[in-house]
Amino acid sequence: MWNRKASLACLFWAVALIFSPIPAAAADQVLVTIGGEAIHSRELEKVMASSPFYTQFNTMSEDEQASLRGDMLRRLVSARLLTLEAKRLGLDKTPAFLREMDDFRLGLLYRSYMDKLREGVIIPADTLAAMKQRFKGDADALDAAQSSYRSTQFRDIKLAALRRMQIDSHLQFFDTRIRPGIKPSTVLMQADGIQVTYGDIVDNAKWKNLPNPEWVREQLENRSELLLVARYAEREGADVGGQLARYGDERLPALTLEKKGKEWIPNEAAMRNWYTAYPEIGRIPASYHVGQLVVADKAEAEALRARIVKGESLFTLAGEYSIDPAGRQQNGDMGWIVEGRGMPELLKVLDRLQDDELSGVIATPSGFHLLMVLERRIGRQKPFAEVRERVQQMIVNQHLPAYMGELEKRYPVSWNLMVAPTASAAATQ
Amino acid sequence: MRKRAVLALVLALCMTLPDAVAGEPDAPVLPPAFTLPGLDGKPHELGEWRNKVVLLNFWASWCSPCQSEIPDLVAFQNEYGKQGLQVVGIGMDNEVKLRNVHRTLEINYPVLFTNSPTDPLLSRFGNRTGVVPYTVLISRAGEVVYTHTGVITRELFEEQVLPLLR
Repeated sequence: MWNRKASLACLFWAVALIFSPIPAAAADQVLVTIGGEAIHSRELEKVMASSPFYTQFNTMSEDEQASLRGDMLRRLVSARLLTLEAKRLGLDKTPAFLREMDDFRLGLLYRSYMDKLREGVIIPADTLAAMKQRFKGDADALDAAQSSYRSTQFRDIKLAALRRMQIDSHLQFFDTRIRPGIKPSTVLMQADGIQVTYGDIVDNAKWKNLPNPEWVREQLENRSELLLVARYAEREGADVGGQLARYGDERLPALTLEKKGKEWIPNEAAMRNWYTAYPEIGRIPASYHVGQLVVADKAEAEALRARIVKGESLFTLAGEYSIDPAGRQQNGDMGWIVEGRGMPELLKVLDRLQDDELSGVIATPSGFHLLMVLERRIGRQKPFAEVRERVQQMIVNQHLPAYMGELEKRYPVSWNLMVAPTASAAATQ
Repeated sequence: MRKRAVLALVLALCMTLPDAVAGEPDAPVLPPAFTLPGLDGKPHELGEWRNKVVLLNFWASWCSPCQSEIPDLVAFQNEYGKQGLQVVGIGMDNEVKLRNVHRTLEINYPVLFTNSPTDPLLSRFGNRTGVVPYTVLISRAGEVVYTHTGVITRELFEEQVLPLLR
């Protein structure tokens, strides 16, 4: 619920954000605290810079940028509230989440090791000079030649590194154990400090019987390589803690919503009932491509109608006589008018008119109209199956504001916004 | 009057870079002359930066790689401006949008604009494809010594521009 204090806080926040764009070099400031956790200005700028609309963002005016920044900050606050709730519910401790995080960590370590190997590929000076001579004047071809050389070298270096790791770690495969009757605990790879069991690579709940052994071998090799490389990356000091934490921060809000979603939508019937209650979600309205002439006087409209009936063009006359400036400029072509949007007096007539049939004179508060439908798209009702996902989203959207309100009570949100003297003074009054 | 117009057209065509200039031209090529409005509200021409090493960067506000290289160009200007480097941006775009990008990315070098993505200037500078970013390197002697389609990386800068600043 809104109260005076909350309104003042929001006003202060909005004014401050609008009038205080954050310069790139500005000091980091706490913008919001949520249940004791802070969102800093640098974090907001980082999110803005990595957003898909960043290119457009830079082309916007200061006001537009401030508004978008404010919207993004609100999203960050919501995500943080959902993360805190996920932790309270213990969603960050479930075996499935821990496994997901561990898999992601291994992937990051693997990539970090491979990046390091790739960086180690150097094109010898004489080879590079020869390439430059060969592709002089063609920068793209030179780039392609360098990439191709690096890629070949990287492949060889990677194979050599993997071989060395396998020997140093005393790695052994037991792939002959991949046969019917294999158990989840059966060890298929063993090396110093790591092992892979059948259960690590094949989901027993999904595969009651042994799947294609070749596929299992492939999974075994991939998992073994992942574990081995990740172990070496860790040993060499690769730090993926920051990336891992960011991944967790992105996943936990989704897990909270997933859990709440199951409460809000316990089964398929709940969605079907919602669709029945709100059928407009599946409604595709009819639309009409319309030609129109509008004048201020009924007698003039009747006279123009008579001229059209005798063979003159509605569009030529609209370009000359229409009192609607936009319509006159476009010679009466009004584009597509969608059912439900526009003047009801006109929509009622459009539905009854045949294509290319001229209407009678229609009186509205804007004047006296003559209409013609050039083409039309028939409206229809989409069946439930076609809008199932939208229904699901709509149910979540219906529950979300109240739920976020609950979370804000549980984890108080405090807006500590920008240095804007006038706004600051207003907020303290 | 008509003769003058024909003469101007012939001169303009003569001042167009050949395609062969892409990359490093075998022989020095003079850049075509132009006058364009700048975001500072004044008209500018290339002659203003005579005796400087000019990095003429064609870009547009809708072009993501163009925007991503701007912070590097800003850094180059900061770092090597005293040694005679002059980055000059030519925005093939709407002035208002360019102005907003100029402000947001804190561009520290002159930006001129054409108001049109299809302005023939790009083609006159040897870029027939219209792909941006496109950068033309002009030596202190006022000759085009290198052109590049795509982002100017630090590696490319060190290889092509730095030797001219020494």
